[in-house]
Amino acid sequence: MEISFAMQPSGVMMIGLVGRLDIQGAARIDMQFTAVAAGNAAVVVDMAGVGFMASMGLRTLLLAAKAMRGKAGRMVLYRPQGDVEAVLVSSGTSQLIPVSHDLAEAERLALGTAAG
Amino acid sequence: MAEPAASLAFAAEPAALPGLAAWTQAMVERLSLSSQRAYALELCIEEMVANILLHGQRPGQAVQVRVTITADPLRLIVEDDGPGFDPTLQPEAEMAADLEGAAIGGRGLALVRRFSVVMGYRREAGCNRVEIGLE
Repeated sequence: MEISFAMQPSGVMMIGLVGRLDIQGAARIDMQFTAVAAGNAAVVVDMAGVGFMASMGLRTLLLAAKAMRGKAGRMVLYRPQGDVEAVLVSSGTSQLIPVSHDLAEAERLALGTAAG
Repeated sequence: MAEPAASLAFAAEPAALPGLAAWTQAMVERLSLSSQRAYALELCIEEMVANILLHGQRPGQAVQVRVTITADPLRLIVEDDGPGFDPTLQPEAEMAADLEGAAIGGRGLALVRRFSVVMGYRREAGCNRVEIGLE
């Protein structure tokens, strides 16, 4: 499991995840992921490189999103693969952390500037 | 002819996880599972084993686990000698309306239900035996 960080010109912190977000993968990134998310007001998580995720991965995402929400921050999940998105939807997580396949929309949602 | 079942036995410790992941991957390849069926199988194994690691332990003595996969029909059988726990009796967790009220955990069994077609439980000879049918 690899994790990377890149501040975008828009002011959004992009967190890139690559690998299997299984029990071991989640344990590997938990602390770093939550710390960086909680230290930024607008975070987009690039999920394209995540080939597998189950409930321990959901736990990682929710823990960080909750930490951000406590500081009025926003997290958006960007372009998850099909089966991973099915996990996000069927667990109700996509109701709590928005999912987008469009980068501009994901950034708007994270920045709280989305129309409507 | 039905593919014979294959099993892996291990102690319920985090150190067993890499071996379990490698074995699961080899089974997925041996059975030539589609990516969707492979995902469902891997998810069910992960959730059942995580459950045992997090909730099924007892002090002082590692719980022993055996994971069995059969093909045609595709089934996952998870046995452990930990405290009795019937996952089929667990109520569906309620979905929270917002992040503030959302629980961090408790989504594993719901995912297993959604990614499988049937789940059965027996307690026999001091062991939990969960049988999960997959599409």
